[in-house]
Amino acid sequence: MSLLNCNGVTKRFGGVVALDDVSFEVERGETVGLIGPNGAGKSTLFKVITGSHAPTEGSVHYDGTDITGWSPHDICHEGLVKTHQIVRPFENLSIHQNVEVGAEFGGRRPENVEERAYEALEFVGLDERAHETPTELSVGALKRLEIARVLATDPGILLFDEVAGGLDPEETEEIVSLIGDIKDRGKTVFLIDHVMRALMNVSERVFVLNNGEFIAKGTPAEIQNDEQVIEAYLGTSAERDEGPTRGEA
Amino acid sequence: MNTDRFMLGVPSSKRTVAASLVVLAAMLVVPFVTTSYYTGLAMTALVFLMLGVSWNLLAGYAGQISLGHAAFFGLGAYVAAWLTTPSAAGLPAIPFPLSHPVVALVLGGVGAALVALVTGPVMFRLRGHYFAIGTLALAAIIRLILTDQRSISGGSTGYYLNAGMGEIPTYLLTVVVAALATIGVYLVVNSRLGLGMRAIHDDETAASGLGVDPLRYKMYAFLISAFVAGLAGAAYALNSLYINPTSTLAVTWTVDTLVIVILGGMGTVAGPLFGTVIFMIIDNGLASVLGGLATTVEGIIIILVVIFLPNGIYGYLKSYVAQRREGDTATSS
Ligand SMILES: Nc1ncnc2c1ncn2[C@@H]1O[C@H](COP(=O)(O)OP(=O)(O)OP(=O)(O)O)[C@@H](O)[C@H]1O
Ligand SMILES: [Mg+2]
Repeated sequence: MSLLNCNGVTKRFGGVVALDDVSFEVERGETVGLIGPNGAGKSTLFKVITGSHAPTEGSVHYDGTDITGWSPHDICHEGLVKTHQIVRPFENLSIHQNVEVGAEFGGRRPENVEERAYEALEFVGLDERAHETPTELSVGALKRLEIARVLATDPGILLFDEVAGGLDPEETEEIVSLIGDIKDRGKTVFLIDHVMRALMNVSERVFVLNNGEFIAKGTPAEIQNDEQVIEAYLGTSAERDEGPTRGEA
Repeated sequence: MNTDRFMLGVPSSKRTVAASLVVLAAMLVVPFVTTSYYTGLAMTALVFLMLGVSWNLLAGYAGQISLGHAAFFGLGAYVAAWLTTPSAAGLPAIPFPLSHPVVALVLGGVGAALVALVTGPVMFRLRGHYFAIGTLALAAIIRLILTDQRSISGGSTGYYLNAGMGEIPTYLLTVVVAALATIGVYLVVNSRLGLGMRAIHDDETAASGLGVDPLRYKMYAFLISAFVAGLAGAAYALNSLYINPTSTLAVTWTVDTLVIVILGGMGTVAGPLFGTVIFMIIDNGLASVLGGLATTVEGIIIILVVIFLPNGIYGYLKSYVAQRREGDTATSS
């Protein structure tokens, strides 16, 4: 049985169809990438999975449990967590406390909260700044704080929404190696990237979303050579392939 | 070591503890070394301190701005009145332990908390400004009901309490209750509960994605806050021995509480303490010096603080000290 299963998920915002009958499965231990142009519906899909939006139609199953329409905190307790495309630190809490929130409330076992939070910070390389406030962190460090917070909940699957968005190549490389380490811990990872980049090379499979619909699924190599993808997305302009073209929305 | 787990923005040094003990001791000797005028002022300060601590927990820590705290205050006052002096409301005699002022005071808090328990789930369907307006409406309704029910509230004639504990013991009880309420809220803020509240305060969406149930932690804050506001109202009633719907349920209680916490510093444990002292000085000092102009000057001072010291006076002192320390370590290293 697959770990995550979306079946016929549709999400409408008034007249806007953000997701149109989306179905897919993610297997346990797998790393799956999700790409697509601006406004394709990627973030919406992640929000539907983690409960901040209820789908208009369709269902989401996690580990055999129907979690459609559950609240975000219940879904987190079940083992699904998401980082935010635009970072959302708790600004009046210390960096350590930010992670403690995940460790304390996110899992089913709020034991050794302090140590577990510290471990997560160490994992992302922020342990030495544990007692500062997040307002002093760079964007790259804030992205790593997002990762530490969700890791501290001891999740089964991690959804990363453009976790390397807006970062320079060096910072991106750090994130890529972090994701590699997370995979090595046996976690399932589902990640969004705006363009086919380094992040996609950690993925075993890549889904391509365009206008709320999947237009391709396959290995990174297959996706890079897929006619339809090139046309609809990668090939829309030669300059775009050169690198990140866009700040964060 | 569990002490600095949740400690950001919370003073915990020995010096703070020592200073608090000195203040506590000073408050306890007030009725023995001063006149009853000053004891009355000190009592008012304690009531405001409790209101400040109460409002600060809900607004400063959990991020839920209430404009209805006068309702919890007034309910606490009336519960204490009904229990200690049931005959004035035409109620049957209340058996001994319940009619004792100490028990009545605690039950004043419980009564307010019960109203929060019942109304909270509805109130928290509203968010942000709408929650604030909701609490304002709730307070208006409670005030209307009590004003209307003359038989139980005394109407505009008011309600005379016959609490029979004597002025000084009642004052000392108020000191103890205010100290316990402050310490209690301090402990809450530094516990798991406080962490959940502060996470919601900063970002409700992020908090719920990390497993915090927003409604649950808002409710905890609302219940504890209402309880402490109820204690304040009951203490006020037991000290002044006369209440009426206007004197205990008027929106000025809420406004003064906001002023105290904002002056002192929201989201800090010491904020309401500093705010109460400054408020008492401004409110009484200015009135004796400036007479009728006092309210205007008070308003101007508050506006200036909000503009120039957005973190309140305690918040300013804290960052000033922190900067000095940083400067010291920078020059010494
Ligand atoms: N809360 C909302 N209300 C109304 N429309 C929305 C809302 N959220 C998203 N949309 C719309 O849904 C569509 C998909 O948006 P979404 O944010 O999921 O795209 P995305 O693929 O994540 O894009 P990007 O690469 O820019 O992050 C867009 O047309 C967007 O305007
Ligand atoms: Mg997006």
